Amino acid sequence: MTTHENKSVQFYDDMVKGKIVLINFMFTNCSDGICPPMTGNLVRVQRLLGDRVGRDIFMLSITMDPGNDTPEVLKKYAESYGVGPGWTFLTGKYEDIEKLRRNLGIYDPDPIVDADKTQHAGLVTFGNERTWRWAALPALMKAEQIVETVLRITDPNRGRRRSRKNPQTSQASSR
Amino acid sequence: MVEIVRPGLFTEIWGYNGMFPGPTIRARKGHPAVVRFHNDLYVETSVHNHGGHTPQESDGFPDAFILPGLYKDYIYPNIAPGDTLVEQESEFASTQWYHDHAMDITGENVYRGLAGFYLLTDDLEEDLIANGKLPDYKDYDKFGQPFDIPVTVQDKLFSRRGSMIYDTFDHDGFLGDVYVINGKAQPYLNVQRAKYRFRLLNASNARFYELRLTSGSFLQVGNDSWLLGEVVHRNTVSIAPAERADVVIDFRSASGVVYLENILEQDDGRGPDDDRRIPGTPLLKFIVNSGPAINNAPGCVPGAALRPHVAIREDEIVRTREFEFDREHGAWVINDRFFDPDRDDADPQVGDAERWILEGGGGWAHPIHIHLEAQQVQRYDGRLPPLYDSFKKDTVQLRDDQEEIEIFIKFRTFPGRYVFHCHNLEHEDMRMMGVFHVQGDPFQCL
Repeated sequence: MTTHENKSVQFYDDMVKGKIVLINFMFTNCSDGICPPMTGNLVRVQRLLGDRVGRDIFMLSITMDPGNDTPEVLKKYAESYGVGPGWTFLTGKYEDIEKLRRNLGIYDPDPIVDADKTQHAGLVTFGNERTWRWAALPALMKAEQIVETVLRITDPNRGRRRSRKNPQTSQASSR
Repeated sequence: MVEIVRPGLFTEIWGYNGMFPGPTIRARKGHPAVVRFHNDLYVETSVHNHGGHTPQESDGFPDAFILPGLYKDYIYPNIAPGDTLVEQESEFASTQWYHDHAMDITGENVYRGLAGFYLLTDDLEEDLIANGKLPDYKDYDKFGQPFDIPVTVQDKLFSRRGSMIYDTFDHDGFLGDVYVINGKAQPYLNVQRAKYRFRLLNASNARFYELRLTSGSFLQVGNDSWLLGEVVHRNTVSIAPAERADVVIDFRSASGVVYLENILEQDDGRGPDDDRRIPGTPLLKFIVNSGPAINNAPGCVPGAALRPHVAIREDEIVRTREFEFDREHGAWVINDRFFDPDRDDADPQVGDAERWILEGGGGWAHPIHIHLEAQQVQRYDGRLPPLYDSFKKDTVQLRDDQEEIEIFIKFRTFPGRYVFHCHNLEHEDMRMMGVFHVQGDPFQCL
């Protein structure tokens, strides 16, 4: 994938592995929809998380409209919302993003509703890759409560060591 | 580590006392119980006694966590609400269950095994048993089993090595493809030719069931936590997540093998298909012993009186509330709001009777559960409920063909904050929950 700083990255190995991440999906042309208030709320979340963002907590926003949302467009979008460091906007191949979106549960089982990108994308998925604890919340919830749950779920002292070989699947099987 | 799929294949589970399902707790009216739950897991937990009339501190509020490494004492008074003895006798429960209720993670916690039965009895139920109206849990068959058996019905997903799999990224409703009954896949039960009482509990995260016997039918004696007013004959019973069907099966004229099967199909969290599939998927195999028939519980016949019921009257209703259960941007709301543990969504006075109108639709099915008190269903989409749903329930089904449910509910004994929510656990975790705050003077209660 490519970041809004035009850097080429491997999504899992560079952006997720070993980190605590908050992931959401958006697109810049979502003017009537949910993305503006969602991004605005996540900016509040970033502020509340303080200087941990960029240190051990990373925020990732992935566009569902890679055709329009080039790195430059994403960079402008991020700047206009006052997005701070430690939060990366990503674009990539449409098929790859669709696959990621499905694996993370950001879809609607009704294909008509799913085709409307504003309908289903209002979630923020977060977890600690090291402890392999993941959860998700509505991205429009009170920022303070999102932060509380993020810190609770991603607490490095709560979780088991992950012992699977293939990290790309979304289902955790345990021995 | 337990064996679920077949002997030899072990999987890790999270269980009360390491058991899957958890230990059955038996309680007696008027004998309060204190249950100490130690959290030896690495996740937060909160225990809810589903169907229980419980003070708020012991009801398992979502963010009243028992943190890892700590314990909490839950106090269960084992009383029934009501001001008069007649009311209390009507309201006393029989088949509750306890399970995890921790905020945002209930789906995984319950799925991995945090569920068990909490069965209650009082003089009335003991008299029904003594008078042959109900099979006796204190009476044992030739296999050493009681004639009253709690049965959890769940659906799980397994890896090839037999490890139980959960998808924390599924927010629609997690479905499995292996039916697990009392913690085992495809179990069998030897039964004599007698009447057995089965407390059938749907402890799945999101799957709806309609259960049927390959030969024979059910005598329903209880719905959710309460005995019915009378025994009702059922050919099939439909149970949504968290619902219970307390049924008696008469094996006296059965022979060979009888299967309990599920005839509903469901592909995703939206809800079950409309068609029934017969033959269904077998869940549990009863092997009927060829010995002589036993006429236990001879009084358990359709129409036999069970627990006298006190209906909430229209003139008692002091206010009406409407709650719309809906999907919003991939998440779930009640009246357009997400669950906020610090926000009250209703504020009845202790002792009030209210009418609640529960609205669903939109192509998603939601089992709606309200804590603390029983719901008395008045109407399903304007129609009177069938007899077996016309006494007390704690969980009702909002479906495509049942979009508006009108219930009466009272709020007695305990002031405090309680939740009501969709019991599709993935919806519940994505904040399809609200708070009702019973107002009143705490010195008024009991």
